[in-house]
Amino acid sequence: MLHIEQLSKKYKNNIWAVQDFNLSIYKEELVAMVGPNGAGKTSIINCLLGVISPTSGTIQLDTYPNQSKKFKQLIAYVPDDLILPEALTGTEYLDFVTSMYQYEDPEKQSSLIELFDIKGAMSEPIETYSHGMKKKIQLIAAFMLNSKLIILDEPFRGLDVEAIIMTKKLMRKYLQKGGSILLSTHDLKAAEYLAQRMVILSKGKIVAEGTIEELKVENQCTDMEDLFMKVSMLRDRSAQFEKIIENF
Amino acid sequence: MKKLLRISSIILTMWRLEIEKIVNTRAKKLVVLMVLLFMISIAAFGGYQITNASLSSFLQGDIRSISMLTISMYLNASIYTFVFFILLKTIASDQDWLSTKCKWLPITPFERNLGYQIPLILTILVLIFFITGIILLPAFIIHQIGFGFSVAFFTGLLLQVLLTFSLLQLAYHVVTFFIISCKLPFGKFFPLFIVIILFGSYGLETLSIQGILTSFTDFHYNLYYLTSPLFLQIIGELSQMKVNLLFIVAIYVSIVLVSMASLLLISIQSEKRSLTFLRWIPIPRNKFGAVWVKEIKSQSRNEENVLNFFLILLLILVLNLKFNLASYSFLLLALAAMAGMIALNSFGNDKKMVPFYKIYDIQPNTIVLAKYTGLILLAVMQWILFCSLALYLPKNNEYWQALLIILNSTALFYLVGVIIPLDRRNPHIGLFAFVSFLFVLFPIMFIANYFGGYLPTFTQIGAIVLVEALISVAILMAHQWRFKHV
Repeated sequence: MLHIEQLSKKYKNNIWAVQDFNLSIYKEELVAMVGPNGAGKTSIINCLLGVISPTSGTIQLDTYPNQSKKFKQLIAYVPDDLILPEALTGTEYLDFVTSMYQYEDPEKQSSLIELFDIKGAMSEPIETYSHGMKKKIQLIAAFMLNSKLIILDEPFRGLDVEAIIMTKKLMRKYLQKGGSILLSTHDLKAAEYLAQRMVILSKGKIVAEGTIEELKVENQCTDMEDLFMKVSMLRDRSAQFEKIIENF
Repeated sequence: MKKLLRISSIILTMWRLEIEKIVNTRAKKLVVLMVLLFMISIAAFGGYQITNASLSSFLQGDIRSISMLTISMYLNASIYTFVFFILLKTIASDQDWLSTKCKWLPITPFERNLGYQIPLILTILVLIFFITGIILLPAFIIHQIGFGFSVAFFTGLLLQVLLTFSLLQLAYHVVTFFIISCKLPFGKFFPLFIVIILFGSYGLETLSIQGILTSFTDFHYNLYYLTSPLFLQIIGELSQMKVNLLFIVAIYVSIVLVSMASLLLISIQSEKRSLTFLRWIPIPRNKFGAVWVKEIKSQSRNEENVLNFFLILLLILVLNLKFNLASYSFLLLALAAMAGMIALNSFGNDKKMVPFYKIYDIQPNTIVLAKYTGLILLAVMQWILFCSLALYLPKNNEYWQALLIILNSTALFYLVGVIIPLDRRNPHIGLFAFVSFLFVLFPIMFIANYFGGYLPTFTQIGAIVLVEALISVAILMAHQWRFKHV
């Protein structure tokens, strides 16, 4: 499936956003990528999608390199930002995405619209949508395709409880049907619940990788927050945090 | 009061930061300073030439000249207030920011709205006093006109600016209230559009040279210079003017009070309403067609484009009633050039989609071609509507001329929009792009016209082909560069 090897990205200001990043995601697997702000998660996703060029390294889905047409055809993406053509209606946007991927499954599309309960808003321009509705239309656009891998960047942000539950179920079903998911999130509970494996990043490098249980045992932690604080090297600062909070 | 001033100070800081963002290097600061000094010198010299004669006549006993000077300066101040009001409202999005982001703060709508009006009026006052000061002060100083006279003149000017500002605010708030109540789209620009029409038509209908000339004996009541008799009264030069000062004061106070009360009107949060033109057109199932239709739909639904279109439409309607446009075929060709303006914000509106175009694996050149042809279709449709409204049937060769103008203006506006992408959060960028475009275009036009006449036909055709090729290459290169760097 997806193989990322020795991926590095150095920006023009000489800052290494990512260094020697390696990751493989297999069929029916969900890998969660977590890390503090500026850890390099978005840079990895942007390199993966071909939005920015990596300084070095290779990215392949099966045998297709990430710059190839086939690679792009097999990947769906839900960004953290609500990047949408706001003048279009929901229906027009989904038609637009359909045209871009040259793949159409009207039945799947309408069942997703029904699932996310936004049928009534489909003929309205996206600019009139709430934050949650925009996220829903992005999720529908990603799940309606015939993809092998979906990259989800903070997919639950802005969603209501019902939509979060539905999205989680949908993700599980997608995995059961042979798909793979790369989930980038700050939501440690969701990551723990959904992921088979977890990658923890800090300052552009992988600082921990494995199943959740393995990581907890390795680091002698009982919960996710503790594990995160420990491996992302925030432990040193936690004493300082405690002091500030104590005096608050 | 403290909260009010705090809001005003935040707004002023935000404006300052916006200016600093534009003038952000030493070189730019130096250029601005030099342009400013040049303009001040020219304005002071020109102003002195105009006001010197009036003041000399007045000092020699001609009371009519000071009455004329006062009316003309107050009229100018009103026009400046109108222009600056529209400009500041257009380029500053802070009132929207205030009405949405400050909704939850413990301040009343009146405080919030007044907090926004203070920096607005202060900026307008500073600009007008600065301009008027440059024009008048050299003559005032040279003729040793006196401190009391100057203070009285500028107090009258201040009152006139406040009156015009109050009227503009009143009209703006009433229209905004109407739009919000009726749930109409274009919450910000439509009221400005109506204010322009109202003040433009009031000026066209009521201002007359005759009225100003006869005001010396029989004051011609006009809101554009209503406070001028107050100043003349203070300096004791009102004896020959037939005017009811009480009536003026009553009108003045009423307008200011009603305008203040209108600050209470805009407390309702406007509901976002949008256009869904051309919804019946399906999105084609190929990449080029999808981008093409998306461009047509997005640009035809864009608020600024729709308002530009209506503004030009209204202008044609008014001009046609007054001058019968059908007999001025070159104006219709100029409208063909204006129709291409729809391309100016095309790239900026779509900029955030660039990463997705990369993910969708569409070549930048395909996008340019799809967008450009879509924009041409919209521009041609606009031009046809302009011609229909002017009741003008173009002759055979004019169709071709218009089409060529549309092709070129659309390409040039698109190119400018790619180089300086418009940003909804920074509306002043649009103005900057447009002005930059004119600054570049005028010298080129001048050079082309100057040398064009001396060249043989074959060379002229060759030069045109070369220029067209250069524009095409420039668009493709600029687009590819943006694709790499967005």
